[in-house]
Amino acid sequence: MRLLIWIPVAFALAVIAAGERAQAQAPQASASKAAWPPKLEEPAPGEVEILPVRGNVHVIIGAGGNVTVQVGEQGILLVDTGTAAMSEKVWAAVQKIAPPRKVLRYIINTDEDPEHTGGNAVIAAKGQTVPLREANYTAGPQGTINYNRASVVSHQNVLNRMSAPTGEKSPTPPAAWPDNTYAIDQKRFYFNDEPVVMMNFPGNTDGNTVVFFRKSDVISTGDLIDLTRYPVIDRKAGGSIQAIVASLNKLIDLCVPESHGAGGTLVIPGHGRIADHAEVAYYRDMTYIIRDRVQDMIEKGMTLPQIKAARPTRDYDGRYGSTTGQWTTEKFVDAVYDSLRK
Amino acid sequence: MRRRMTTGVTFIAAAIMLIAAHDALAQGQGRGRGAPAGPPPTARAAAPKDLTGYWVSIVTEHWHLRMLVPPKGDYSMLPLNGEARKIADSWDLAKAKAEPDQCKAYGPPALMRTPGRLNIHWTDDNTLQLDTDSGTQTRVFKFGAPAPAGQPAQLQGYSAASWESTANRGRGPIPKGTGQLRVRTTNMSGGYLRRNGVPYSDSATVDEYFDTFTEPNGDTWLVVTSITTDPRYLTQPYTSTVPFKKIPDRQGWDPTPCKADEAR
Repeated sequence: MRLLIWIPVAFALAVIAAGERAQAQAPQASASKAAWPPKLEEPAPGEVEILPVRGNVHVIIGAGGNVTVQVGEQGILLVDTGTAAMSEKVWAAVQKIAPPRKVLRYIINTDEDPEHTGGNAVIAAKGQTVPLREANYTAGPQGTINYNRASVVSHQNVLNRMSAPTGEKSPTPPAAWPDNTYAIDQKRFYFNDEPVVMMNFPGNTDGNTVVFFRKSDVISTGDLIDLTRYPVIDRKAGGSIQAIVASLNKLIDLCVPESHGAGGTLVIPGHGRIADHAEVAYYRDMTYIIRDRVQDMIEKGMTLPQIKAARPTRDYDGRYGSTTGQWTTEKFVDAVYDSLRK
Repeated sequence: MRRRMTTGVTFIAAAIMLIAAHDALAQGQGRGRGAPAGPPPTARAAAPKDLTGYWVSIVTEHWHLRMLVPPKGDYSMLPLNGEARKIADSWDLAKAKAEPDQCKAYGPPALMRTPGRLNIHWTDDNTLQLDTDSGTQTRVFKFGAPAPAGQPAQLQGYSAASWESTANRGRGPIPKGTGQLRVRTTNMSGGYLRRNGVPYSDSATVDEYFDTFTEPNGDTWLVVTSITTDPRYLTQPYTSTVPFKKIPDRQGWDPTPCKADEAR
């Protein structure tokens, strides 16, 4: 099992100072022992865990990619749905978070990765789209709208990659496809008493969406930040190391630290623990440094095998590197090289 | 022309007289040559700032490196040479937990970055002591006493302390409210620069600067800048800065033993 350091945000940020932790625990020494050291591993395989983030926003961990949940008077909004295999577990967790009789209205996909969209078909079917037209309305360009399904929102490029032209076999079933897309810089709506802003931050692909809950001051980033490994770069889908660095810089601009560079805006990554401004900056620095090293090696005339042998990621491998699994350090270096070579 | 030169000479002479007068004033305060008989002020009396009291770590960055034991091989931001990387790559947490010496990450190059509380107090007029609750360590800062020769190396080494002006004055006493504490630590026995087995050697030295300031809201901060130089394992000096916030008393003081697998 991949070691995943994740910490309930209520712990990680409310007690940024270890001493304040100690101060808080002093009167109740026995209770404090349970809070320290923090839990260091992800939920057991097949299990999910719910963490409160802030305001209306929670996160479900353990379903493949992190699933962000916003609940309120108007219903339920999810950012991503985890893997297909975890759909029912995710939905059960959502029902624990949401008040009774609240309806799932929206699912926002941050990219097309199956760890983030795998649960679309099953979970979308649990919800209902807000019926803005009569049930039998067919005159519009979209024809009949299935209101017995939550609306799945994404960047247009995500739909393009999940679907296929009529008559051709698509990578995912139509029931999983987004039905509400955008192809400009951002899409916004007001839901559960707060602005929800979807922004196209290309990075892993050209269709990445970052979701900003403005009142809760929480940002769900999808795989633009993956604290368990190097960022996945899908070159065929328009991803590049340059785009990741640029989008992480924009993300830093969105994050406002509370004090001395830490706390403040909370960031839910695609995988791994809840983060803050300082954590995003550290991750950005990592991508910057590795990009610059590989760029320098290319300019010196080094070949890809020579660059790999020089290990430009060496000092970060302990935290983000992997020699097994779908996204290895070698694949990351390949993608960085490919991004910069062209 | 001649008149202009005369004016210039007069100005220079006046400036020399002013400097001489300043020196005489400083000497009158017991700082310079020819001072009136009597002992020089003690380090405690000469302290331009009060560092004593209880302080708590405020971890505002790199908490994944400070609040948790980093994974093996995470030596990001450290200027290690190949030998040090090899040692860090061979570290094993299970073995570290089984070692009799659990304090390798509590030496001066790493101790100030370990989250916890400090208690700084004078043990005599020329000795400032810094205790930590994390790892229950004690550092002793000696003013005006050179490192004794022939002493065996120790985890906390020998720390020579001095008050240092931050205004580049170079003469006279340091005005109250300015300046900082400078500590140079040598004769350390070696240990871990980062808790996950990144080494420093017994050739390492640590230069530290302890400075304080108070915010308009009354919060008082201690900022410790550490520069670790290690000709054996570092390719260049490693600098880090950590903040502490002053707290009113010892409430929450929680002495813990050294632990290889816990970041405090």
